[in-house]
Amino acid sequence: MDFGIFAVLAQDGVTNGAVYALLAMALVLVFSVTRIIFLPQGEFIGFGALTLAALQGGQFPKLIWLLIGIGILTFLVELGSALRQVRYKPLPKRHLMWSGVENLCYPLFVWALAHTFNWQGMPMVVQVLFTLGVTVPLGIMIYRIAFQPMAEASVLVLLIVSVGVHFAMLGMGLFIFGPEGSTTLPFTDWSTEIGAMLVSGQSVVVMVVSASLIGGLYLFFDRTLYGKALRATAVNRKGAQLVGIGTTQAGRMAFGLAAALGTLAGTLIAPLNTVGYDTGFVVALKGFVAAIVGGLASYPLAAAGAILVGLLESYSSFWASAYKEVIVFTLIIPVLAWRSLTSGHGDEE
Amino acid sequence: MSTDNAKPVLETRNLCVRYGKVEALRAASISLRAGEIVTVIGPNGAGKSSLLNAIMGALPSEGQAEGEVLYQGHDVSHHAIELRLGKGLALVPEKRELFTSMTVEDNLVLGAYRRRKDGWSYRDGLEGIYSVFPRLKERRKQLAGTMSGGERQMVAIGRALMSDPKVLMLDEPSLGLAPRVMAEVFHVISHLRETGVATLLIEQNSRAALQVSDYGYVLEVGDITLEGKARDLAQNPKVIEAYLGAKH
Repeated sequence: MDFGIFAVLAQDGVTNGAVYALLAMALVLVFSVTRIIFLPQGEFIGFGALTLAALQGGQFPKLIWLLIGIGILTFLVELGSALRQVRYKPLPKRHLMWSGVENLCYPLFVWALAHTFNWQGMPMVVQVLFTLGVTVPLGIMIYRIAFQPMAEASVLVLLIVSVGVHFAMLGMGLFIFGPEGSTTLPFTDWSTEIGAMLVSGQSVVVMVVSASLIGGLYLFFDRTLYGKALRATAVNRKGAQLVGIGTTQAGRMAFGLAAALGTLAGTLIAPLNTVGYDTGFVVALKGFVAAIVGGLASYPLAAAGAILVGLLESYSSFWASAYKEVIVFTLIIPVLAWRSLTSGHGDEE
Repeated sequence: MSTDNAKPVLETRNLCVRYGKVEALRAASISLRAGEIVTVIGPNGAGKSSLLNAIMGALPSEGQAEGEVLYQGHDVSHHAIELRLGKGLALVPEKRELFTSMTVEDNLVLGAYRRRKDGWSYRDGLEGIYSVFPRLKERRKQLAGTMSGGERQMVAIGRALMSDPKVLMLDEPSLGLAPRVMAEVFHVISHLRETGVATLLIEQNSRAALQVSDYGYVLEVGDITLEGKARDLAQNPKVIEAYLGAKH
C-alpha cells in the first residue's frame, strides 16, 4: 500500500467515522438519560434520507402518512391514560388540548406544507430542515407510545421493547417506502488535491457538519439549562425529579435529539450511498460499537471510538473486504474486555 | 407561638403509605405553619421518610399513598412532583441525590429549573444561597461529587432553596456529618425561620432537632404516638427515655 491509497482510505474512514460519531452521540444521550438502548436509531437514517430524496425528486414524502398515523395513535394513548385516571383526578383538559395540537394538528400542518410548496426548488438546507420537521416529532411520539408508559422498567425490558419498536418501524418503512433505495443530490462537486490525495468536497462537508454538530451538542450540554437538565437526569434521576425535571420531559428531549441526529446522519450518507428503508440498522450498529467504546456514557470516548470504527472499516475493506463487517463488530470484544478490566468503580455515594 | 391561629401552610390528613402489602405509614395527620420548624422523630423504619416522600409525591414506583396532602388549603395529593415543586414544596432527600459529576453552581442552578418563567434571574438566587453558605461560593466550580459530606448537605439544601420553597422538607440532614458541621447545618435551619419558610425536619438526632423546632411529632411503626410543643416533648419522660437517652 502506497501513501496515496493510505491517505484515501484514511479520508474515507474519517468521513464514515464522523457519521458514526453522530449516531454514537445519540445512543449515548438516549441511554444515559432514559436507560434505553435505542435500536430504532438506524430507522431514522433511512427514513430521513428517503424523505429528503422524495423532496428532491418532487414527490410527496410518504413518511408524513406515518407521522399522521402515529400522531393519531399517540393522541389515543394520551386520551386513554387520562380516562383511566379519571377516577382519581379531573381530566387534564389543557394537557389533552396540547396533545391534540402536537399529535393531530401538527402532522396535518406538515402535510399541508408538503403540498403547498414546491420543495424540489428549495435550497438543500431548507429541505433538510423540513425533513427534520417530520422525523423529530416522530421520535418524540415513539417515546410516548412505546417507552414512556414503562420508563421505570429495567434496562433489559427496555431493550426488548426497543427491539420491538425497531422491527415495527422496519416493517412500516418497507410498507411506506418499498424495498428500493434512493440517493440524494450531492452537497457539492468541489474537490481539491492535497499532495497526492484527492479531497472530495463531499467528505469535507460530512466532516465539517459532524464536527459542528458535535460542537453544538457540547455547547448545548455545557451552557444551556435544558442541556444541563438532560445531563442531570443522566447523573441522578431521583435528584432530577426533585428539582422538577420530569423523566418524561427529559425522555422526550433525548428522543427528539436522537431522531434529529439520526436524520442528519442519513442525509450525510445519502449522497454517497444508496439508502433504503433498512440501510440504517447496520450503520447505527457501527455507531453502537463506538458508543460501547465510550461505555454508553462518555461522549468524547464515543466520538473517538467512532473514528476508530471508521478507520478500521476502511482499512479492513482494503485488506480483507469480505470480512470488513466481521472485523468492525469483533472490535466489541476487546473493547468490552478492556472496559470490564479498567472499570469496576461505582462511586455513586 | 404567636402564629397559633394562622392557617397551616401544609397539612396532611390520614396520610397512608403502602409498599405492596406492607404499610409504612398509617393515617398520619400533621400540620405546619409559615415560619415554623416542625420535627418528626422516631426510630428507623417508622415511616418518617415515607411521610416526606408522600408529601412531595416522590415515593418510589412501588409505593402507594392515600389520604390528603393540603398545601395552603388545596389538595395536592394527585399532583406530580413538578407541580408540587412549582407551588412551593421542596425536599432534601436522605441520600442528597446530588448531580455528582456537575459543578456546585450547576447543581444550584438546576434547583431553580422550575422557576424561570417569572422574570426572575437565577443569579439573584445564587447570591442568596452563597450568603447563607459562603463556602459554596468558594467551591462553586468544584464538582459536587468531590465535596465533603457537610458541603454536600449544604449543596443539597441550597439546591432545594433555589426553587424558592414555602415548605422545606429535610430528611436526616445531619446523617453522617461531623458534630461541628452538624451544628452549622442546624444553625442554618434555625435561621430559615426568619425568611418565612416552614421547615419539616426528620432527624435521628432528636435532641438537636427538638432544640431548633417549635413543634414535634413522634412517629412509631407507622403511627403518630405523641405530639406537642418541641419544648414539652423534650421534657416528656417517655421521649427522654426512648429518644434522648440519659443526660450526658
